[in-house]
Amino acid sequence: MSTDFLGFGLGLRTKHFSTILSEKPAVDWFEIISENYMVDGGKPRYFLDQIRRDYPIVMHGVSMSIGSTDPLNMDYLKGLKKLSEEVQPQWMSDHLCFTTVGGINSHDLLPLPYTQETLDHLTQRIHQVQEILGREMVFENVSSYLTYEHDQMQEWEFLASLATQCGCKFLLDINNIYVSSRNHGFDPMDYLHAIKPEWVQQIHLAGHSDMGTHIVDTHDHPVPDPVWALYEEYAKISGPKSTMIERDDNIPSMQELVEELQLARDIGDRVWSQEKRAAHA
Amino acid sequence: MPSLKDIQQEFMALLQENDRHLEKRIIKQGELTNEQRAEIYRTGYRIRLRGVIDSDHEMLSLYLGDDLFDQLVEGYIDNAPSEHPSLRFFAERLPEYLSKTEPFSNHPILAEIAGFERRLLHTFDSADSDTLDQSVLQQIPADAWPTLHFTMHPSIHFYAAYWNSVESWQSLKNETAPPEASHNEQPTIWAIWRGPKKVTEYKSLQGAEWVALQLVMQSKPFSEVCEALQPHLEEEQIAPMLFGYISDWLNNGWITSARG
Ligand SMILES: [Fe+2]
Repeated sequence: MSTDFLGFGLGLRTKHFSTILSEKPAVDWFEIISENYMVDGGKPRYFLDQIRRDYPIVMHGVSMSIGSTDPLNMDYLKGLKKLSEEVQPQWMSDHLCFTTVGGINSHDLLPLPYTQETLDHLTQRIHQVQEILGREMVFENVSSYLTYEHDQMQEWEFLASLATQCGCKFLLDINNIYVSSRNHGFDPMDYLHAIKPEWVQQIHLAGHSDMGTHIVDTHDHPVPDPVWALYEEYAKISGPKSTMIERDDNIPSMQELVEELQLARDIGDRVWSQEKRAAHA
Repeated sequence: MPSLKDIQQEFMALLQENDRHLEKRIIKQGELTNEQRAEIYRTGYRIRLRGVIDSDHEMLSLYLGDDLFDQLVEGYIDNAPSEHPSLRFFAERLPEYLSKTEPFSNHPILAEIAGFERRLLHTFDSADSDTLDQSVLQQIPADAWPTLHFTMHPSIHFYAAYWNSVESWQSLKNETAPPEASHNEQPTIWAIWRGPKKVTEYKSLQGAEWVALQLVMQSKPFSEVCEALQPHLEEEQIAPMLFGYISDWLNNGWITSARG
C-alpha cells in the first residue's frame, strides 16, 4: 500500500464528471465509492477510466460489512477485487461497522459493540478479506447515535486495540468523531490523542446537520468550524496525511468544493510548514 | 452479556420489524431517549430505501400519486428487504411486487411501467462495446451476405408492453397527463439501448423488424433472416427493407460485429 502523502482530494461524484475532464480542477486525487463502479459498463465506468488518467484514485467501499457475523459475501469481494485490478487505486477502504444481518442489507454503517469479542471477530475477518483481495485494507471510524450497555471500552480504546491486535490502518473521519462526541458526550480530543499517526492512512472531512439535541451525519453541508478546528489539532499531532472532503448530498459546484478544499490546504500549510520550521530550528 | 450476533439480530429486527428490544441494550445519555436513538436508525433505514425507489421509479411515483406511492414503498420495504450489497438492485423485485399485491395488481399497467423503468436502469450500466458504423455496409462483399452473423450491443434490452405503459411513462416525463390505461392483445415491442453518447434511448419496433432482430440476436445467418421475413413482406421488399433496418441499427449503435 502506498503510504505517500497524496495531498488534498475530493469524492468523485457523477455531477462533476464532465467538469473534471474539461477543466482539470486543482484536486490532488479523487476517492470513488467502489459500489458505484462495480458494474459492467456505461457512463460511470467511462468517466472513471478517463479521470484516472489524470488523477490518483482511492477506492472507498460501504458494503463489506466487516463486523457482521454473516459469512463474508464472496461475490462482493470478487467484484471488489476485479474493480481494484482495473482501477489500480492508491489504497482501498471500508468502514468499521456491520451492514448485513442474516443476508439482509441495511445499507447503513451500523455501530459495533466495543468488546473483546468484536475485536477478535474483526481481526480474523480483516485478515481473511486482505488475503482474498491480495492487499491491505484501510478502515474508517463511523459516526453513531447509540452506545451499547455492554461495551468494554471507549471507541478510541477500541481502535487502538484493533491497530495493535490486527495491524490495520485507519481512515480517520474527523467529522464522525465530532458527531459521535456530541451524540455521546465525550471529548473529541481524548479520541484524537489516542490515535497514533502511524495508524492513519487518510483523513475524511465532512459536514452534518445539527439538530440541537444531537447531530446527524448527513454530508450535505460544508465542513463546519468545529470540525476544521479538530482537523487542525489532529494535523499538529499527525503530520501530513492525505485528506479529503466528502459531500454526498446537496452537492455544490466543483469550484465551490475546490475553494472549500483550499481551507484544508491552508491548515496543512500552516501546521505542517511550522512543523518543518521547528524541525530545522 | 449479549453476543455480537444477538446485537446484530436485534438491530435488524428494529430496522425491519420495528422490534424495540435493542433499546434495552443501550445506555441513557444526554438529552436523547433510547427510543429516539433507536428511531434515528429506523427512520434513516427507511428513508434511504425510499430514496432508491423514488429515484429509480420517478414516473411510477407520479402515476400513482403520493398516497398510493407511500403505501407501495412501505409495503415493499417490509416484504422485499435488500439482499444485495448495492442499492441499485433493491427495487429489482418491484414489478413483481406490483403484479402480486393488491390494490396495485388490479392495475397491471403499474407493473409494466415499473418494468420499463427497470430496463432503463439495466441499460444505463450494462457492458460497453465498440460499435460498427455505416461504412461496414460497403465493405461486405455481396457473396458474403447470406452467411453473415451480426453481434448486438450488450446494452440492448427489449420490452414487450401489453398496456400503454411506455406511452404513459413518456407523457409523465413530458409533464403531461398520461392517457387512460388501455390493453392490447398484441404487445408493442420496445428496444432500449445506450446510444453512442452513453445516453439511454428507446423506440418501438415494427413487426417485421422485430422478427428480423430476434433471429439476429440468436446469431442466425442473414439468409435465414430473409426467409423468416417472407410471411411479413413481399419478396422484392425483403432485401431493401432489411438493408434499411441494418442501416438503422448501425446508426443506433446496436451492432458490434459482422462476421461471415
Ligand atoms: Fe467518512
